[in-house]
Amino acid sequence: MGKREEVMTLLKECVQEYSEQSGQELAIQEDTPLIGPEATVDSLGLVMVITSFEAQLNDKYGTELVLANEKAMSMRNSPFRSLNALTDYAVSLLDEAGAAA
Amino acid sequence: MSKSDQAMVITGTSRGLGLQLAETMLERGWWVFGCSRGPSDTKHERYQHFELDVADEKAVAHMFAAVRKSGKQLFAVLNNAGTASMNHVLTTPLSTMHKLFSVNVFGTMLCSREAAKLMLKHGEGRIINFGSVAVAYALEGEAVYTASKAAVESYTKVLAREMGYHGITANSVSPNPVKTDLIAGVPDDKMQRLVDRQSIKRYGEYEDVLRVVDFLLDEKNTFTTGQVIYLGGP
Repeated sequence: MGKREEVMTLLKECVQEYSEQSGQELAIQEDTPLIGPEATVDSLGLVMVITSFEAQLNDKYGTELVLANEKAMSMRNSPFRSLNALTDYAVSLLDEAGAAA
Repeated sequence: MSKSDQAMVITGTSRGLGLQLAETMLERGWWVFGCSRGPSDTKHERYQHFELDVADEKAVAHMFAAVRKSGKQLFAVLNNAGTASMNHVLTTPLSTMHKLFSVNVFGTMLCSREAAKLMLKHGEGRIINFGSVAVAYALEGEAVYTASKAAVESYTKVLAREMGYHGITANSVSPNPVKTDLIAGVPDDKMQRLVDRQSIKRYGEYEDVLRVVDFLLDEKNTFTTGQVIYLGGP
């Protein structure tokens, strides 16, 4: 499994975990929006997914990433807009940190 | 869960209240992760020290990553690190404002944030921030310090609201003057005038602070949150 696929799997697991905790049946497709009117999670849900995803990434790759950083907040297109976008963003941070698949 | 499985982070452990708190918590069996800008003389098998600036996001993330990797449950963070500076508002340099807000406010915010992320996993935790009676007294000559501690106290109240659902409490211990390095350079007569404004007119002692910390740390104390406790009375 390539790094992007691994990271996407982790993210889907985090959304699934939040789905179970919150008792909501959430859409979990790669193009599922995470923010905006069609978002699968509410604002608190997004915070919980990002926090859980960050912890999972750091555990798996031995990194110390902070996902909600200045770079994320200043990007023209939010990296939190969909599972695909968040996965790409996380992979780019892992690459910067030199984390191997 | 016993103390032998639980950890706390204490900031500013090289001296003063932070050092005393670290020593007490180690005696009680906690795993303590401490930090300060310089080295620490504390040597203990359950103590790990980090030389860092609490306003350095990467360094703070690194310290909390070490807590996570230790396998211990992070139950509490004591955001004790702080700095003070006396000056008139008309002669306070911007660099002083930056320094005080970096340590007192941003350091507290960063450590609270990273601690809360770890506490979420366990559905419990205690965030104990350090305010000051300077806020209640609107102390002249301490405008920036007072403003920074007011920010800490306001932040703590919102933090309590946002984390309450997750079983994490957040409170502020706001001491009156305690004879530590923080007030070493302040003239005695000025300190005495401050003490005279308190409801109970004496200097605070380490044990006064410890009693409040113990009350907030109590595992059964799951319902006290968003509070600012002024020692000596406002």
